Amino acid sequence: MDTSSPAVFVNAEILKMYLGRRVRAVIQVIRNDAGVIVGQSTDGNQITVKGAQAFPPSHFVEVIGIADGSQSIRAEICTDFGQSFDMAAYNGLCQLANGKFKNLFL
Amino acid sequence: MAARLTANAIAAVNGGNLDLKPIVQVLDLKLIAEPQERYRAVVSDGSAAQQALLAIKLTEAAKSGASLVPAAKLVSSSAMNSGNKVQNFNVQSVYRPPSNYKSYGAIMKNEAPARVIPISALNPYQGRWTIKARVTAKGDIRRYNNAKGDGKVFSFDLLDSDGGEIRATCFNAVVDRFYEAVEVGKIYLLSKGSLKPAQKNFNHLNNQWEIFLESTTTLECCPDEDSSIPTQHFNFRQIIDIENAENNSIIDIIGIVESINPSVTILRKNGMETQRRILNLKDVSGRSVELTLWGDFCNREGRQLQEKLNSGLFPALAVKAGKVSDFSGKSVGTISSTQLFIDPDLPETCILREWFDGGGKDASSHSISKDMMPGLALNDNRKTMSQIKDEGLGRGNKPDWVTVKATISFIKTDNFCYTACPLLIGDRPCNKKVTKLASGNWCCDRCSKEFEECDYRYLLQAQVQDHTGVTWVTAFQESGEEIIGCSAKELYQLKHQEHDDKKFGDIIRRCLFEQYLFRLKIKEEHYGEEQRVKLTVVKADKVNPSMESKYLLDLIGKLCT
Repeated sequence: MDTSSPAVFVNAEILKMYLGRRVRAVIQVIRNDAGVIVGQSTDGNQITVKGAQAFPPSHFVEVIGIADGSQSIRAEICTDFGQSFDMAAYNGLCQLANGKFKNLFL
Repeated sequence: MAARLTANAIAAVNGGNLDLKPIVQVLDLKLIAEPQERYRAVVSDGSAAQQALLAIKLTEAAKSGASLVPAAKLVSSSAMNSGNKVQNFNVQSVYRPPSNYKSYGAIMKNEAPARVIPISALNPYQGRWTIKARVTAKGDIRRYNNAKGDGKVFSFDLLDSDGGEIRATCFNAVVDRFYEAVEVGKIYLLSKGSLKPAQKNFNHLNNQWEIFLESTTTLECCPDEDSSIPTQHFNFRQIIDIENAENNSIIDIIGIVESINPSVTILRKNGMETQRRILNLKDVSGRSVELTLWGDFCNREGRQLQEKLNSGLFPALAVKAGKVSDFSGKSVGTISSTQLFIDPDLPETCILREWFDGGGKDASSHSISKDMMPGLALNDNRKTMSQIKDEGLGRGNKPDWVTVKATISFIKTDNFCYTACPLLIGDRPCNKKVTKLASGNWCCDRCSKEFEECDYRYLLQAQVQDHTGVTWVTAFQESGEEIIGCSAKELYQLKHQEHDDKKFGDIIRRCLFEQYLFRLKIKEEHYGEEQRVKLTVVKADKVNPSMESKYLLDLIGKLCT
């Protein structure tokens, strides 16, 4: 297992701190625009995903890729999590993983 | 001023004058024991004497006035000609003249008017005392047999205008004196009894003393109603407080009767049969409790309540001296000294009525009498396996209720269920283990009945573990079904009738290594000489990831601060 470049759990806010780094985020699909997914992050703000196939709107998708803008990720792997997902729990995870318990994750 | 004897009274009454109310003097008193105790007197009008029969209600006065025979006077209000040689006068009342203190100081009895003191002031070191109180409860005559032989005892409870309560008890011969005279609701002046420590086993009144009536005790009925003395004294607790009440403690409660079940015959430990009825009481605290009626209460108050409920009414019921039991959650039961009052005339009744009619009727209420804890409390007491052992849970007086997140690692498949009696006792199924007879039928000892089909109920023994440790738990019917996912009957048939071991194995394996939130009842129990902590699964819920995440986030948050 390649642990050289772990993906950081981010939401739209935290994404800004890791530009150029590998990140992972769960978004809820708002719409698909020719290879770009526009979705809502777990903290309510918007994230754009480039280079990904289309996913049904309102589905939850996990995106692992490089943060290439304050609000965008260049996708490497995308996974459809289906239609039910607890955004609040994920958001809590993002905050803990980048806050007090950062050392457990990175 | 001394009264005068009515001259020739006896001749007049014998001649047919029934309206005369003569004053005659008692010359002699004799106790006769007819069907009831009565006194026969010889009365005189100064010149002639006649036998007379004292009215029953005067028996008391005659007894206490026995020492005043020479001075007492009688007023006769009617006379009956019995046809015998002996004419019978029915003497109706006793007239006692005011005391006459002679000036030459002969030794006289202290006839000063009685000093009425509050019941709360009574103690064994009190000199002369008199209390004025209302009888709030009258017990039955109980017969007993001990080393000294046979005896009988009778008690009644008194309440005075200050709210003080005390029990009065009589033994043997004294019982005969007072049993008839004492009536619930009437007010009496009681004097000359000995004060001894109250017997807390039987006496639940708020007084450390008890009055023992003796042959010298005087009990005088006060015919005038004294509204300063209440008819009953209650110390009501809200149903929600019963949850914290100690097992076997005695309390008063009041609530609206929501439902009542029919009477069932119960075989007691001593081999005697008795009746039992369970009803549900609900009060403003939003909780309901089961009240168990025993014995006569079932047919008496129980029937009255049933009739009211049948007509669509929801009566209020006040219970005085009910006993708290922690057998199934918390419930209240009647004991011999319990008193029940249906729709009593109390301010609490009005409050209940208003609350009930104004929405309380439809408001949901949690029953404190069921073993299942309300869903809200499910996440309350989270423990790990090691904490259960380390904290010694289950060793106290009451069982401990905890929630544990754990995984089933093993289920005993040998005896996963038992054959149960399906018959109903009142509203609950009997569920006692039944035995199979040679005929192929099933037999239940408790119900004393035979039947072809029995119920199958889960009795699962499972090993569960979390990251801290492992332990054995038992799951009964409801939680067993939650775990296995099918009924005990289906599983039994699958294994023992269809012999489909593969399917059986699949079902069991499906339960293993599933993470559950178990609600456990932990209680230490005695198995012969051993003490073992027994864990019973009351509820088994598969872990809901979303809710569990929320719980964990919250927990982590608390850990950090």
